[in-house]
Amino acid sequence: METVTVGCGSGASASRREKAIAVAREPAVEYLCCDRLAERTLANAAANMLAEPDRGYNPSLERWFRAVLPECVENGVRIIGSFGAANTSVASEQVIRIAEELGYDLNVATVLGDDVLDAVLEESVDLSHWQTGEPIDYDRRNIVDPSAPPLFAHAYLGADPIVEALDRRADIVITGRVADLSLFLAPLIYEFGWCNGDIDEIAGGATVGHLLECEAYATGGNLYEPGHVDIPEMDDIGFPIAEVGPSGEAVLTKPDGTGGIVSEFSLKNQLCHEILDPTAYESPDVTLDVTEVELDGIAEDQVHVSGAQGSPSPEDLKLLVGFDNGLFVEAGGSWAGPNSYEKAETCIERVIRPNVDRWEHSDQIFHGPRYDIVGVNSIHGPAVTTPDCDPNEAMVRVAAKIETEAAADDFADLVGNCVGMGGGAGAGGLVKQVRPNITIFPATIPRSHVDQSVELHRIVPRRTDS
Amino acid sequence: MKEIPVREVAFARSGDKGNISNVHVHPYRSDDYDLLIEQLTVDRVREAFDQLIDGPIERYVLPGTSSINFVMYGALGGGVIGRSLNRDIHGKSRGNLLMSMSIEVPEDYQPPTESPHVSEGNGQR
Repeated sequence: METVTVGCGSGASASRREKAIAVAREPAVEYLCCDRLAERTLANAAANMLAEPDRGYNPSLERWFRAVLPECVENGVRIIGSFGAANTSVASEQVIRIAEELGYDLNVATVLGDDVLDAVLEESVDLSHWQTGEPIDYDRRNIVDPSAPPLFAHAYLGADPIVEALDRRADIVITGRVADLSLFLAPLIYEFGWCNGDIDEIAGGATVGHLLECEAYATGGNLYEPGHVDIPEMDDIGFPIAEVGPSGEAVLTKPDGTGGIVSEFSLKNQLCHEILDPTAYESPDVTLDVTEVELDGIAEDQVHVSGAQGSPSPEDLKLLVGFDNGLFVEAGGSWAGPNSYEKAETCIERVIRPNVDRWEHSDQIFHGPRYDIVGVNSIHGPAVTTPDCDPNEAMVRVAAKIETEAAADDFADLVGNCVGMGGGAGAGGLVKQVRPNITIFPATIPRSHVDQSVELHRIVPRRTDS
Repeated sequence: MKEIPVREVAFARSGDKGNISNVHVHPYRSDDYDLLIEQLTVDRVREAFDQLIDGPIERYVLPGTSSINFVMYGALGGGVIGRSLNRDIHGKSRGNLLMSMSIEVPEDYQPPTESPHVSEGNGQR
């Protein structure tokens, strides 16, 4: 029986268009599926939209579509992607404008309904925490202004509306917050006509989606480990492609001529990525058991994937609710040459800490401060010991969350002054960042409160007589 | 018996879901899976990660791919959703911390030397 080939065109908000083009040029590829969202990118997009109502969609949409769309049109590849981020309607308008300017005759579908802020604001729906099940108001005790309304609320939609869009002959499907793997599963459900009874087939398709949704993570990216794992042509790692059969089993590969690897080892590292209980990985379309998934290398850069099992998806959808929550501040500076580490440590202990302790707005610090020496303990913190060598460089970094913008700015100046003027000789490279801090609560929302819909726009090319 | 770092025997990658960290471990040779199952207990992993996490640790095994998945709750100082103060807000480097743990192996144990995608017998040379 026929197979369907889906390719990964993106696995992150800033995923590279060159990689998507290499996938779109593979003759077998029929769908280019693009995840452009993560928990934090959605928050950034929502903040952008609040600042300017015409923004809040994927920031690199314009250059991505101008480069990739011609390749997809030429090769008959349909595009599915969460380019909408927090502002799907405007994202679709942009894609339609670009396609019109390029003179294409296309159907563009817009998947709406993930934005449930109105329902949340009207308090017509009770939100409970995604994991603890506690009412969400209980969690808001850590918000600077507990009475402030949420900035955004987006539910994770599943494959259904994309399947509908494909059924209505969409060439491009623009979505907002759709679960990552559902973007890849949707064309498989559409092509194979899988329905509720085909739970293991859907689980197979969802596993394919999970393996593809982080782009190069499946093909040798984030995998090089000196002395143990080497990756060929790391400068040009190809994105994964899956040829899927009607049973949901698949062969994973990557575009000819690209670097990286597709191997049992590369794929097992993606199979476990960002899953919790591997017997019950929840998505809006299926609950996935990957514990018996088998990966069999059948040829160079070709791996057969089988053995996924499914059970019904959760009744409720996952939801992200974001709140404005003060400011995030980061400040510091660096030393180089012998004694750098000692200068950095002395600066923290003898200059910065005493100044922060007597700072007039210290009551506005609601998280932190955290004192780091970059290159030593800024990531693994107390789990690592101090170096037994004298590193050639050391950077002090102080991070905190502070209630008001004026105090946050003053805090960054205070730290910068301590490093630049008060600390060890030769301090330079001062850094200062003050950004809005958005706190997100993962919650659940009954499906009945999520009103998803698909809008289809037919582009008719303009004719010119000149 | 002798002690060697996990990184001689296995690779670990880590990711996040909110403030939850998942650290998954994959031996370079499936023959070493039992060794990891036996020694990478929840208690031992907690020793290595104790100062970084507030919540429980769960361990899951995936026999199909010879993998172990550790799920650590309250693990990322808020993570991306609470904007952790850590430079690595996703905890992408936590796998490396696990690879720095040590395990006991027989004196004559020889760690794998080849890149796993080369030695797996999947046609690559």
